[in-house]
Amino acid sequence: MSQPHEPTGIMEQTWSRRQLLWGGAGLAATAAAAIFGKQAIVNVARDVFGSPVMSGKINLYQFDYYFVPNYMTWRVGDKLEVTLQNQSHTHWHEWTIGRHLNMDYFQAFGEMDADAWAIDFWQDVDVTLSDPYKIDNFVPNTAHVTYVGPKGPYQIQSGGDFSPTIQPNGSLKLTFTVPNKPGIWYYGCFVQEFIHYRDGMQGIINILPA
Amino acid sequence: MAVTYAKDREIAAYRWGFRIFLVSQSVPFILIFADWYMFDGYYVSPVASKWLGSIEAFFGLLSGLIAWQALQAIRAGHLMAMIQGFRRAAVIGGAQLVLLAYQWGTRFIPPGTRYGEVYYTLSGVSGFYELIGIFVLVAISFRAARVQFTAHYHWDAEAAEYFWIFQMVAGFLSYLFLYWI
Amino acid sequence: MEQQITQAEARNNPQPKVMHMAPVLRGLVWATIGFAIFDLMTVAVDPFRGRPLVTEPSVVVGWVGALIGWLMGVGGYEGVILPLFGSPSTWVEPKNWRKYFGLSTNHKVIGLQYLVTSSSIFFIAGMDAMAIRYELMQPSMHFFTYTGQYLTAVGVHGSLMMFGVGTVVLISGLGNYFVPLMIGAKETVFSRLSGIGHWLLPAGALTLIASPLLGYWDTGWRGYEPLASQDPGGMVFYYLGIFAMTLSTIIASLNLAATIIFHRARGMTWARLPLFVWGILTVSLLNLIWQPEIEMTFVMALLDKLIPFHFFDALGSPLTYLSMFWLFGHPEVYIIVLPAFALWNEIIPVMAQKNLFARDWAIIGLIFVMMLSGLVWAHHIFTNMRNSEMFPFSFFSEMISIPTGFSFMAAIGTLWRARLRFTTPTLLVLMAIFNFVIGGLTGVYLADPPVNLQVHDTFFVIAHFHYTIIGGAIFTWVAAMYYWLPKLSGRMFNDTLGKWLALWIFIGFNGTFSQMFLLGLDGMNRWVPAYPPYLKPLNYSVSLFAFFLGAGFIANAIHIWWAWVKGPKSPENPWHARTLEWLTTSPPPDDNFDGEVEVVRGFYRYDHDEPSAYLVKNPEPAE
Repeated sequence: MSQPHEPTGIMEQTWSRRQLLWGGAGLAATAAAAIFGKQAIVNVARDVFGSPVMSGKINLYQFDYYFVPNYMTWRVGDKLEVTLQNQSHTHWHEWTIGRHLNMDYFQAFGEMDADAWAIDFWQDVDVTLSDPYKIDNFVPNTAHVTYVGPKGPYQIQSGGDFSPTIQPNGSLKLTFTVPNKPGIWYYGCFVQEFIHYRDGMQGIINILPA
Repeated sequence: MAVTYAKDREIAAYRWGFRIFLVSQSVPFILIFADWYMFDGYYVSPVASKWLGSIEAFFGLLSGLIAWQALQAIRAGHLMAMIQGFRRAAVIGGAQLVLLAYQWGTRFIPPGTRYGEVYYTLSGVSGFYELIGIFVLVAISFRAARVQFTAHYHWDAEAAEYFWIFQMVAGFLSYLFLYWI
Repeated sequence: MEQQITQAEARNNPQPKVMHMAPVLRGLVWATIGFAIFDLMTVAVDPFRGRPLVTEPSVVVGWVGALIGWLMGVGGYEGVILPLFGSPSTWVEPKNWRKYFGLSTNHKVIGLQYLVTSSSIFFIAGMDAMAIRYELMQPSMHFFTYTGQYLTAVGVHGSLMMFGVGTVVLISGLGNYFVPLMIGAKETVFSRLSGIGHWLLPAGALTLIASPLLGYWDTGWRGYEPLASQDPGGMVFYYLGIFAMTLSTIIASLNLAATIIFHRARGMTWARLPLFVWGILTVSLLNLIWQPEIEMTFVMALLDKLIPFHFFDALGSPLTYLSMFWLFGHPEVYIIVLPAFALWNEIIPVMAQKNLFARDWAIIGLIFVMMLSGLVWAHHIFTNMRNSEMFPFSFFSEMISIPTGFSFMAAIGTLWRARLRFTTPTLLVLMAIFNFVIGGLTGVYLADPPVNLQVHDTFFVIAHFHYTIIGGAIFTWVAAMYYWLPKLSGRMFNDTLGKWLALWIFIGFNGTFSQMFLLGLDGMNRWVPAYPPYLKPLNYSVSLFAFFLGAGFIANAIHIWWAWVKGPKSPENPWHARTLEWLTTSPPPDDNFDGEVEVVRGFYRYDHDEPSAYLVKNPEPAE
């Protein structure tokens, strides 16, 4: 009547306890490194493999809440044409470059990074803005700005760093020659009370000497 | 031939458990229907093509009917008829999904509207269940050939049929909500 | 009657295969491959400008690929997919310790897998809580750099504790292990599905733990809109992780409910069904209704974030999300605590060796709590309602204390004039009852709109629900672990040490959370990593007690682990309990009972010496 059911295929497992422990520990360590040491790993990778110099036309995209790319290498004296495009469907984004975050004392939260950079990269830089589309407020600060076309779309304001703010799906072209300010510069978006910056809208520009 | 035995009570447990599972799976649909009422008060957009929707719904009903006939076939002991019926039902269900994909692809119903949001969510969820259902029908049609269901033992086919009818009913209700109510 | 199933012989597979890689490791490797394939496919179809390799839509699809790979890798490919297409089953479970690291169909193995996974999640989420308390020792930020990091820690802590521990330990963990034993079943109905169900739990927990990779999210475990649709990508992993964990709970509930209805032993009538089984049955029905509800709500919220749709943001109706969340959210807390109520009345009569007082009312209480739990949700959102709308929810929220009281009544009635054996499980159950009185009574206060509006979103609320969930459910979990340890392992713990350890967590717990009531009344808000300096002394001492409590849980875990492995051998039925799990050997054999079980009378009467059930042993095999 009934024969015993004879399965075939995987009948036996012979893996060792050592494999399980070391494999599991290795994967856990990898995961921990990925969560806590993401930046350090990326930095090491850049040190090892380098990062190609960008020149000519550059596309810089803004998403919620990150830049693509979030690392750029420029060379002093190169002529750049950065097309800044806000790819978010819902959020306004700006682009500021500088060094040293302004710190402020917040009543309950203590000393925290505040509105923008203490040193503005764009100080005394000649920059031409063109092809504005869905531009919100724009702070020229101390940059020497040339506007191509009508100034109307820019809603120019004062206060804070050089910061073009772009509406969802908007874009703007910035044409300039990289000034003689070599070294590491940081960029970020401080919209919505600097939460965008804290949520990861940050990037690094490594400017090489000519 | 290796032979095992299933007790009637086990089948009853499977059957009851699977039904309760399907009842539980009706909750997502009820939730969307209710949410839609809260957002929209049952508004049917004039740009929704009733023709396309009706053809899809017809395909759904047709494949449900074919799957049901396939189950009747195995109850009468016709294994091949059942296998073919399941595969036919799967193909027609696939055709319904292709139509849905076409309807999505044209973006005729703008996704930015309240109706559009509900339309894409509801048709997407019922399409997902249909995709699972097609997978199950095809899998069971292969299984039927290898395990050799009989007029007495064909619980797997019955389960596949249950699921297929469930997604058909859910899809048809969604159709009524999306195009008529 | 039996039906014949004929199964095709395996054809092209004459050589049995040997598996050289642990199924969990294979699962992780396959998950990585699955993620890469699905993610890259999505990026190819739906490229973002600048071609980032991981985008929010691609990470969702990639996650689905990873989940499929993971479930296949742990044994789903051989155990489910191949048999589904009619191949002869090719997954043979190992007989040794290796069975715990892959797909299993044995409910006891699955129960232990759930317990271990859930304990690990408890540990991780507990460390998270320690980080939160360390941050709150000072009025300003000193440990976390950004507020988003703190709020992510809070959200991961809450989500893991609710969906990975609270909903899991007593239902999927102890329920999977003990419910079939307690009803005299030899196996569960959907055992293979149940095995797959367990492996969804670590997948979901790992997803949540990995959420900071995509950006800090700050909504906490509730995912409130419209904040959630504004949040960075980490929010996506919140939805996905909870999706996997709730799916695991649905599967466990389905399996246990079907098993309770169909696999009871002869004579196990509904009137004789043990209380813990009733508890599991009621919460299974709650799970089957409300877990799919929250999953669909999360799918809609996810679409809000990805597409973006506008169901729940400012263009839609954020309040609808709040209602949808709490429609699930309040039954969820009863899902957590109902099995605990049932366990009190399971353990107390045994320890008192005295008839359970008002058994029927204890069960009616469980059922009414289950039914009322869906009618109280809006007391979480009184701040967003009109006065007239508050009344029914306030009324039902206070009403629910009555059926809850039935469980207390049964417990206290049983304790009345009992000669109670004062063991570690007894002590822990009494502590849980004490804690839940405080948690429950403050809950009645919170159901009153005037109090509710005053203390809304303060630490008063935190203290209240920690009293119910840790104080009620987690203490009962620890009690049940001690109570059933002789059954799980065949070994006994050190009762004196156990009592000291129980006292340790009791002091730690009450020290932490009773002060939180005061903190809340003094104006300490939830969801802030910094606070006015006048709250520092209280917060400082709360944190010290919290560390003490955390260490206490670890100490209990070590003690249980030690007793499990090295403890002295325990007698077959050390507590002289009458329920069926004690009828078999410890630990139970693979098919639970070496024979047929027949129940002849109820389990909760100790006024006679007749056994409740008989085990008719199988005849010795004539080899």
